[in-house]
Amino acid sequence: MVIEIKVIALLIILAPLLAAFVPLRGFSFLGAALIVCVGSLFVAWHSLVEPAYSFDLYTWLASENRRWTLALEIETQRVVLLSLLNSVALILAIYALGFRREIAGGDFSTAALVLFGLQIAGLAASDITFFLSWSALAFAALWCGEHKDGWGGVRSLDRIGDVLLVAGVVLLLADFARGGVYCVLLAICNRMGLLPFPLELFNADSGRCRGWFFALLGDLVSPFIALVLFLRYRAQIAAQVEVLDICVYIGLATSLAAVLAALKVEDMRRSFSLTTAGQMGLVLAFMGIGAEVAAIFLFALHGIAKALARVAADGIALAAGGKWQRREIGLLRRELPLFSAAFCLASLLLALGPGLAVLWMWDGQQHIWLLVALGVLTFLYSLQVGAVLVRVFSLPRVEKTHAFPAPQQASHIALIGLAALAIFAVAALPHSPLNWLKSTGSTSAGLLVPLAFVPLVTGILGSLLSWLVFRGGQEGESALRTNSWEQCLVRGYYLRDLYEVEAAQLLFSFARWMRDVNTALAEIALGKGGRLLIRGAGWSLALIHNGRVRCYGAAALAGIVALLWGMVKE
Amino acid sequence: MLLIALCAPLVCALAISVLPVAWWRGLAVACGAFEALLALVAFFLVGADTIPHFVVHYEWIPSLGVAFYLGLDGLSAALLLSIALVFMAALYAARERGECIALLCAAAGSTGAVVARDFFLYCFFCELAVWPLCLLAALRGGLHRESAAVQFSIHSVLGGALLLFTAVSAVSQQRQMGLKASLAIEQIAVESWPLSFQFTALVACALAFALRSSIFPFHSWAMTWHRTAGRSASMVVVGGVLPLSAYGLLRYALPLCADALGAWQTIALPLLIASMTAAAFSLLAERDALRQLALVASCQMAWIALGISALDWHGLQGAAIIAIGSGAVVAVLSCLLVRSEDGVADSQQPPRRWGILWAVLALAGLPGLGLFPGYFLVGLAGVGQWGWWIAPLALAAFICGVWALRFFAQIGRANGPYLGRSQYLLLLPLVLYSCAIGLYPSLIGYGEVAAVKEVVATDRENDGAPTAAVDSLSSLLGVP
Repeated sequence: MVIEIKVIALLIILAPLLAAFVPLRGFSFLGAALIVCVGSLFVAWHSLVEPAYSFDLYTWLASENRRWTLALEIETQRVVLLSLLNSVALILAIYALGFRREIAGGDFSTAALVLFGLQIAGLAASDITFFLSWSALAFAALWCGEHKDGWGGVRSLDRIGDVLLVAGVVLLLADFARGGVYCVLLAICNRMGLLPFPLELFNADSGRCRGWFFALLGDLVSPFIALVLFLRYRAQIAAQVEVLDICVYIGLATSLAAVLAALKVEDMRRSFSLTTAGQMGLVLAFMGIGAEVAAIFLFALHGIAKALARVAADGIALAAGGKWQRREIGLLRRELPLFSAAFCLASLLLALGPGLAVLWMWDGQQHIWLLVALGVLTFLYSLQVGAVLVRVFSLPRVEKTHAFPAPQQASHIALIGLAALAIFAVAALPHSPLNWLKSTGSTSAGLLVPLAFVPLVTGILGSLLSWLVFRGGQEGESALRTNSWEQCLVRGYYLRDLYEVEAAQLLFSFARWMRDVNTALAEIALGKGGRLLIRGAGWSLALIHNGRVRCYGAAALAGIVALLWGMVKE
Repeated sequence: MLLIALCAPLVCALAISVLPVAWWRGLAVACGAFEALLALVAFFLVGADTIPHFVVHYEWIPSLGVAFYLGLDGLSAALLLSIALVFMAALYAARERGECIALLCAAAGSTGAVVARDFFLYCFFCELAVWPLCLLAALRGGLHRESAAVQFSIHSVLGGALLLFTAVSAVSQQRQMGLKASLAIEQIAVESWPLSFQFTALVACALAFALRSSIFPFHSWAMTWHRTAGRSASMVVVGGVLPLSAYGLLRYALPLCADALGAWQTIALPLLIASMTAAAFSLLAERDALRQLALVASCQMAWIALGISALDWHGLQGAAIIAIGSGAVVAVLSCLLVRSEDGVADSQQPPRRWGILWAVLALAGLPGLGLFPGYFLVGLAGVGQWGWWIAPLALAAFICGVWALRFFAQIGRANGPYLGRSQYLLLLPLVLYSCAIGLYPSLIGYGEVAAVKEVVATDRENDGAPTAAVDSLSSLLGVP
């Protein structure tokens, strides 16, 4: 059995790597996704019934009294998550072959490389093995990205994450525990797209990368790697008490900033990226209070729901001639009913995800302040989603203005598969496969305190309120067109004005402000500011090596400074 | 075996220059392939062994203690393979008979410097590696070729003179101490060098290293060189000459002046960090891809110097890995860039794009691609030795990463020179070798440190008091 598990673990790592270099376009990626999906499900099943198991591949390096090995590990939490993501990847492969057949073969290779990185991250037992997953992703990102404006900024931010991770590991190895933990935490924030990094990281990737599914996998894979990183270093992080508090603060602040900014964003891609950042903020907050199961549940549900939303929106956007505006989503609901319904389901799941995740917290973790904060956040998410749903279902129907490729059965299968996966995750709450995890880290199994339902209830209320108000507003607009002023006043503008101008004026002001700040921050970090800073420093040094300032004069100056430095140190 | 490896390029060069044959290029490439094959066989035979194999020892100038002493251990075998592969690819890239002759002479010099186990012999072979390249640049280079050749030769002469000065001073020191004059590797490590001499030797060796390996700000010659000297000469300098300086620093300078280096570690750190950061920033400001090549090599050399300055097992190991890996990576990059000799660049070959992507990612330190183990170990040693003062290193690493992205975006996706399929095939061994080091760094034997261990053991057997240098290193190495 042990040998079988070893072979399967190696197979699910090597299959996507081989697929990346086999020139069979999408079919090699589909085959690899199938292999990794089945293989990881088998390994996950094995990990549920057997204890954690690890094995060394070989000794990478032996240096002095240290020894680094390339090793794999079958650890339950990670493998269950990995199998879930692999299932999503398989469904995406099916969808891609069914609908987006114009995608170039190179993009499938890139996706296979991303899948390879995902497997290594999920199975890595050592730091060195884990680094390889970052390597694969960076390679894929460089290969895939369209080098438009801002691309370099995004990749530079990725490099900050890489350097922070390596620096963190080195510091931890050299017994600089506090510094190492902070570096690792920053690397996690970088990969999850959390503050203090710009929240637009994912958006920039989505908008500027060729191959929509790379952006989609990027949404899933980068946060997954960050989550695995947290799980790997949880002991060191927990040893620094204040770091856990910082995780909670960063997570909640990011989530609030993201959801506020998303309220006033029209582009679906921006909306997706901000949702990812917000929900990953909550995942980090859950990890900060020690609610690992809740964090994993939220991550998994978000992954499935986001995949579903992306696929549905991608299909609709393709049909709408590449328009990604939120208001366009509903226009083609008659032509693409399954896509529209899937989009609505995904949006609801994204909004209610935090509320459902709270049900996975233990008694001791259900701090009132946290539940209230989650309640507020879920309410805001629901407002946003309610507004989207109104647009999907209430806009007047329009005829398609151009021909678009008819969705094939494969696309529908993909949508239904993802929806089934999402419904399974939610509906099987008390008996979910994740349920067994409760017994591993809990001191109390009691979950059903009334306060735990606060975020869920506020989420549902938010959705209803948003639906009522925006639906009323749209009916008012249509009434205005038919000159029935009474109806307009009562059913339409009165409600919306009451909501937008009177009750929620402050909220929307904040939302606009947050959106603009976030955009400015992203523009500075991804484009002009960073470029100016780096080029400015480079220009001044260019004076030296271009001969305007004599090289050896500079060397002498540096020598004097170093001597003075040495004397001061002595 | 070593004599064959040493003489084969010289014989081939002689044959090409004398025989009126049309297939001189094939002969030169065959010779390069033969050298690479020999190096590969030697690499597998020696493995990671620390004891020298294939030893050749003849007295040469007894009064000065100079011996024709050759040998191959784990470290030198790994470096020899890297250099042989670079020369094989460079010989294929050569376009003229004279170019091939110069490259073959340089190959003999580089091979000799790596297999030499005597300081004088090392200096001699280093000169043999450098001068044919100077002549080649002066006679066959592009625009400003005289300037490139003069700059290169001035830096090489100065560096060589400083190394020779160190060697002569060491012999003189041995005589003053009433010892037998010998600068064999083992002898250098066992001697108890006075501290005043060590400081002098350290300054001389550090300057020689900086001049020859183009460490910022002594890098101006390399910027001119890569732009002017042509593809094969540029490849050979980054892959076959610069690593020799790092090798000399590890093999000869370190045992000579370990105590002095320990005392001046505090000064070395800001100098090297400043050098690396400045080179990294300059990379971003520089627009010419070939000049960027010089700056990248300069950054790598600063990493090596930093690893050695840490005086720690991790640092030494990291420095050795970077010395071996960076030569291969930068040589591949050098081969793929557009040069004036290519005329109009209108080729979009996927292997070129892949090659550039691989090289820039390896230089940026991505795991599994060759240089990551070196960066990792040097960083670890630096943190252990200097603590938080090493933090600016992260900045330099980050800027190099940003440069790599920019470089790939600008150069990797643009049109490039037309390189035949065979050229890519000859670059493939370099890529594979570098990846093998990245995935399995234990492949390399680390003879220099092991030599110190042996020295300590010998010292104990002789019941002599351990020398200050050996004591310092042995305590760092954890040898009781």
